[in-house]
Amino acid sequence: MFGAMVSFAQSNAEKQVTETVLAVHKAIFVNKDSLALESLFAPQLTYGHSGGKVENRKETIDNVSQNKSTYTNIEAKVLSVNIQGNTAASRYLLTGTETKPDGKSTELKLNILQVWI
Amino acid sequence: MLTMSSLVIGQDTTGLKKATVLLNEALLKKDSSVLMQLLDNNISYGHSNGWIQSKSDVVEDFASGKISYTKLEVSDEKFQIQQQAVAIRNITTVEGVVSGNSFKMSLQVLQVWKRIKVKWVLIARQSVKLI
Repeated sequence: MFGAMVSFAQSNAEKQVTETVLAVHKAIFVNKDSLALESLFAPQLTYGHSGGKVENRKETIDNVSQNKSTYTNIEAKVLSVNIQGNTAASRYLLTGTETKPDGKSTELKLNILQVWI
Repeated sequence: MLTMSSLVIGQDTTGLKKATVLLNEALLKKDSSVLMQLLDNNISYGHSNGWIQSKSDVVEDFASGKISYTKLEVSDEKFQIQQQAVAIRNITTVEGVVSGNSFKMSLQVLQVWKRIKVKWVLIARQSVKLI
């Protein structure tokens, strides 16, 4: 009961941002759902990877739908939501295991920044 | 999330480029008063080594000398101007010292700036090491 009260204390806007952040996360790492990304990504989206590669909207969606890695034990925890008027910046921590088609596995621990307008 | 409306009103970016230059100058000079003005109170400031810092973390680390930059050189800068905010990506070549260890590398940097009242503030920042 107390937990429920705490979650209700969170502002509606924060809750909305948190849900949307996790929707993108799921579309990329859980469901590889390019249709969901089509509706969530802004036309001018840029998507930066941890190695410095930056993709545009189309490249990102194409690569998600063609991604042959499998992800296991994936967990996502929203760490912060910063809402400034009609803009929100949120961070979440992604952990889990990525297994490539060749069988090689990598432990993932990524602090991911998403910006919403 | 808002989708783009059919009528896109141009964002007034006066002073934005200057704010980005001031930020790098403040990082080099460890000018905490300028950093206090340019960083949003709720900024999430992510470094390439995985640190995520608050505004006070960033300001204190420069003040204490935990991080010290001797060079910050920006290239290939792209502004993505939206009505609500501006996202800037650039390559920044950095040199300096962190926790006593010197470093020299190229970063892919994302900065998100928002015009709040009359001034530009940095609301989020993330860098990754270019590999």
